[in-house]
Amino acid sequence: MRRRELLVAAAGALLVRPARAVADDRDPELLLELVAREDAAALAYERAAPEPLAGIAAQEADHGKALRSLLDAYGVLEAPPVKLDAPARRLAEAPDDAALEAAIALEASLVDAYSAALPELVAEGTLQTAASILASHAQHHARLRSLAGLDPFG
Amino acid sequence: MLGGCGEEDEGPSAPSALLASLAAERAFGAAVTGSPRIAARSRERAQHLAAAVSAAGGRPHDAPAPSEAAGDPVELGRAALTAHIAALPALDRRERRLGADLVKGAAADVAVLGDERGERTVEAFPGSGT
Repeated sequence: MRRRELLVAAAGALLVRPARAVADDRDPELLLELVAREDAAALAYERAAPEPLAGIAAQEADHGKALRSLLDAYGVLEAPPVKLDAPARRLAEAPDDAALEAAIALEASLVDAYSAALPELVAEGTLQTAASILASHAQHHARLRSLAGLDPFG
Repeated sequence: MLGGCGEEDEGPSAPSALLASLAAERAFGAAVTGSPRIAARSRERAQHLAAAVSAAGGRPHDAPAPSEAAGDPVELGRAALTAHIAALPALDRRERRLGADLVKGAAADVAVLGDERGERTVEAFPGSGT
């Protein structure tokens, strides 16, 4: 198994710890929303090649795989088909000279999505995996802004 | 988190989890001597954490700042990020909003510090220990 596959498996394994399910647990619903965002982002980076950061499309795909392994634990075995959302479509369709700006906007929207999800998630493994993915998108955002000559913390 | 035999492990309390985050953040901030802006960002996170520790009934002074810089800043930044992620399950919704800000801020700082050193610090699962 390659190193990247091992990392994805390990991240997903956080969820293998039994979930603390409660009646109003929205974790599966939130995870499905986040999987859709990751799938769209991965597709957008592939279509907007070359990647602004080496390996960024694969990292988005790895996020999707880790989230899917979390969904498996809830018995949700299928995620919706991949569909570009608005920020991903902007990147996928951006001309070369606008791709970096579109990638920054996409990463900012992903940071916002995970930040909004963290207070809502219930299961410990789900929460910590989502937080780690939030960290990844925050790093993407900072690096992309630096590449664009912008304040990385803006 | 549930234990292997079906008994629930309550995990750390919110003050204890926040204190661990605060200690890690203060160690990071003390080590970032060559990057004043990142040091200032870390101090700001530490201030928010100290306020959250107090609000949760803990004592921020139980996580004192190191008296001098010690350790690799990037590694200490990663350790702070790991501590912020580990703390989240112990926190309530309001505290988790702070937790999300801590995760975002520490992750970005690690990426920028790594850039300055020519290291690849953009990872798929930072702070997860994988």
